[in-house]
Amino acid sequence: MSQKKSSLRNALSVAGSLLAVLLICAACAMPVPGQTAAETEVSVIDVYIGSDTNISDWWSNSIKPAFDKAHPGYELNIIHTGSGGGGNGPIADRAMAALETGNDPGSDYFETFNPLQPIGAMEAGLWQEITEDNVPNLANVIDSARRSSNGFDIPYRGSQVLLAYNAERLLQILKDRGEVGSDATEVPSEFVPATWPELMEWICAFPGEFIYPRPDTTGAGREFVTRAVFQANGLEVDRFSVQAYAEQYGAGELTADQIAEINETHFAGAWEQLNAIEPCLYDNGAYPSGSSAETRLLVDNLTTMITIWSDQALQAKGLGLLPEQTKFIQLDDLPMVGGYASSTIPTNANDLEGALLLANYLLSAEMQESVVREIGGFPAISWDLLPSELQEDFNDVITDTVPSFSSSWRAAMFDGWYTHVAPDVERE
Amino acid sequence: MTVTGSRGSLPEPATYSGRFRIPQSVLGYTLILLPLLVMGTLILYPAFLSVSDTLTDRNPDGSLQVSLADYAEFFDTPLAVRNLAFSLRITAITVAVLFLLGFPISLYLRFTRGRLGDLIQSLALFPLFVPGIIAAYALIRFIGDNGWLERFLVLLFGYEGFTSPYLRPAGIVVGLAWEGISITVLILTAGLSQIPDSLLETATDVGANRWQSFWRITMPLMKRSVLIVLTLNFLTVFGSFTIPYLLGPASPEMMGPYMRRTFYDANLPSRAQVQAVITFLISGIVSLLYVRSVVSQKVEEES
Repeated sequence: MSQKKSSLRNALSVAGSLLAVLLICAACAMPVPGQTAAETEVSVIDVYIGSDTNISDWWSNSIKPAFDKAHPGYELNIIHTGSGGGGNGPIADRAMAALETGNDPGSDYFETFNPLQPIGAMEAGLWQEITEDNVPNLANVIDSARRSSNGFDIPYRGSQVLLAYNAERLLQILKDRGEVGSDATEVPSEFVPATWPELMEWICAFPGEFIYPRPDTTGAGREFVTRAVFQANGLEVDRFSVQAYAEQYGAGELTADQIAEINETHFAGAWEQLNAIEPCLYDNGAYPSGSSAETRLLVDNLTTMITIWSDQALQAKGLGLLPEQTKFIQLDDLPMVGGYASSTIPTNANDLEGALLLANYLLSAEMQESVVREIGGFPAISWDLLPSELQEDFNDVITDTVPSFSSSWRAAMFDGWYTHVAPDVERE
Repeated sequence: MTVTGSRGSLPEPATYSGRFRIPQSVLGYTLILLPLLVMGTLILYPAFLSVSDTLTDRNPDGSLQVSLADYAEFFDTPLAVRNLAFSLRITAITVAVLFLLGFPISLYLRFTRGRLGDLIQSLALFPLFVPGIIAAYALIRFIGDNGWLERFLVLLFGYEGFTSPYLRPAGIVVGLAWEGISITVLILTAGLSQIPDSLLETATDVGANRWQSFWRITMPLMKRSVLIVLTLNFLTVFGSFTIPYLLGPASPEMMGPYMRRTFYDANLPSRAQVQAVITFLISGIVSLLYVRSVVSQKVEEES
C-alpha cells in the first residue's frame, strides 16, 4: 500500500469516527418518541428511598396506591437505593451537579436525607425550604420532631431504639447460676435493667450476653452509641442540636484539629464507658455490621440482649421471626435515643409542586396513622390528632419524649467510635 | 493498542462489495472511540480531578499551591496506616491461599478426563454465579457461631473447640477465597491447556519422571498464567468491599469499607479521596505487572 493512500485513509478514518460520534450524540439529545402530550398528563414524582426494605415496601404497598388514588394527576415512582453503600448519597450528588449545570436532577423527593449534605448544598440552595405556606400540615408537627430539623426538611416518621431480650434464655442463665429457684417462671425485675447505669452493670454481670452493632451500619448501633454520648454529657439533650454544631464547627469538612477537639470535648466520656463494657460484650466485642446480622445473634440463641429499632422489632415479632419469649425494654432515665426520618426536596425537582403536595400528604392524619399501624413508627404529629384507639394499641412503645441527635454530630461520632472504641478489640 | 496492529497488516475482507465500502480502519476507530470516550469522561477525567485535588491546597488568598499535606496527614494517622497494612496483609494471604487452592485443582482438571473432573470443574466455577452479598450471608450461616460447620464438627467428630472466623480477619480470607476460586481455576486451566500433550509425552519418552516433567516443562510454561492470576487476584481482593464489610472485624478495616465509611458516614470526602488515591497507586503498580506480562506475550506471539 502506498504512503499517500494510507495517509488519506487515516484522515478519512478520523473524520468517519468523528461523524459517528456526532451522530450518536445527536441521537442521545433527541427527545424520546412516544412521550407525547397525551401521556404527560400524569406527572411522575421520583421518590428515592435509602432506608431499610421495611420502609421501601411500605412506600410501594401503602403510600403509593393511596397517594396515586388521592391525587389523580400524579404518580409516584419508588426507587430503593438501599441503606448500605451510600443509599441516597449518590442521587443527591447528582441533583447537586444538575443544579450547577441546570440539567435534570432525575429526582423529586428523598424519603430520608440530611439537608446538610452534600457539603455545600445549603449554600448552593439545593434543598427547598419547608414552611407552613408550601406544606400546610407542617403546622401540626410536634416540637420534638421539629428539633432535629433545620427548616429544609420534613420530619414525618419517628422510631426509637429499644433493648430486646430473650427472657427464656435469661431465666435459664439465672437458674444455672442458682440466682432463682429451678421452678421460677419469670425473670425477677431486678435482673432486667431499667436505666443506663443499670444496663452498663447488667452487661458485665452477664458477660458475652449483650451486643450492639457498628454505629454507622444501622440505627440500632448508632442510637446506642448516641445514648452513651448523652450519658457522658449529663443528659443535656439540647447540646447536640443542628444549630449548636453549626455555630462551633460550621458546615464544611472538619479539619484534623476539629475532629480531635470534638472527641475530647463531647465524646471522651462516651468512649470511656463503651471501652469499659467492651470485654463483656458478645465474643469479646464482635460488632456485627447491619441490623440483620445483629438480630441473627438473638434469633440463633447466641446472645440474650441486643439493641433494635422499635419498628423493626414490632414487625419481626409480629411475623414470628424473634424468639417467642422476646421482651422489649425502654430505659426510664432517658429513653434510648430515637429520631425522626426527614425527607428533603431538591429545589430543581422536575415537579416541585407535586413533591410538596406529597410532603403535605405524608403529614396528614391518614398517613400518620399508617406510620404507626404499618411500620410501628411514631407519628410526627400529635397523638391527639389520631384516633384514640390507636394510642391504646401501641401503649408499649409510646413515649412522650423521643430525644434527638442531629445528624451533623453523627458523622464526627462515627469517626470517633472507629478511632477510639473499635480498634481496642483484639480479634485475630 | 490492538488497532495499530490490524491497520494495513490484515487483508481487506472479501465480503465488502460495491463502491461505497467503509475502510476497515474507520470501523476500528469508531468501535474503540466510544469506550475510550466513556472511559475518558467517566473514569479518567474524574480520577484526574481527584488526584489533583489531593495534591493541592488552597491558600487564604484563593490561589492554589502544590502540597503533600493531605498525604502526610494520612500517614500520620495511626488508624489509617493500620488499615492500609491490614489490607495489604489480608490481600497477600488471600492471594496465596487462592493460588494454593486453585493450582492443584487446575492441574487435576488438566490431566484428568471423566465425570468426576466435570463435576469438580462445575463446582469450582459455581461461585462465579453467586452474587457477593448472598455468598456473604450464606457464609455467616455456615461459618458463624452455631453455624452449620460448627454443628457438623460436633456431630461428626465430637470437636467442640471451634472458633468462628466470622467478624475476624480470617473471615475475610475465607469469604474472598470462596469468591475468587473460580477465576483462579479458569485462568490456570486455560494456561495449562496451552501446554501440548506431545511436549509432556516427549519428556516421558526420554526418561523424565512425572516430577521432572512438572518442574522442568509445566512450571516454566505456566509462569505467565501464574503471574496473571496473582496480579488479577491482588487487584480484586485489595479493592473488595462486600465481603470485608460483612464478614470482617470492625477494626482494622480493609481499604474498601474504610473509604466508604470515611466518605459517607464520617462525611470527610477529602480524606476518602486521599485513601482512594493511595489504594489506586498500589493497584496501579500491580496492574503494570499484569499489563507487562500480557504485552510481552503478545509480542512473543507476533514475532
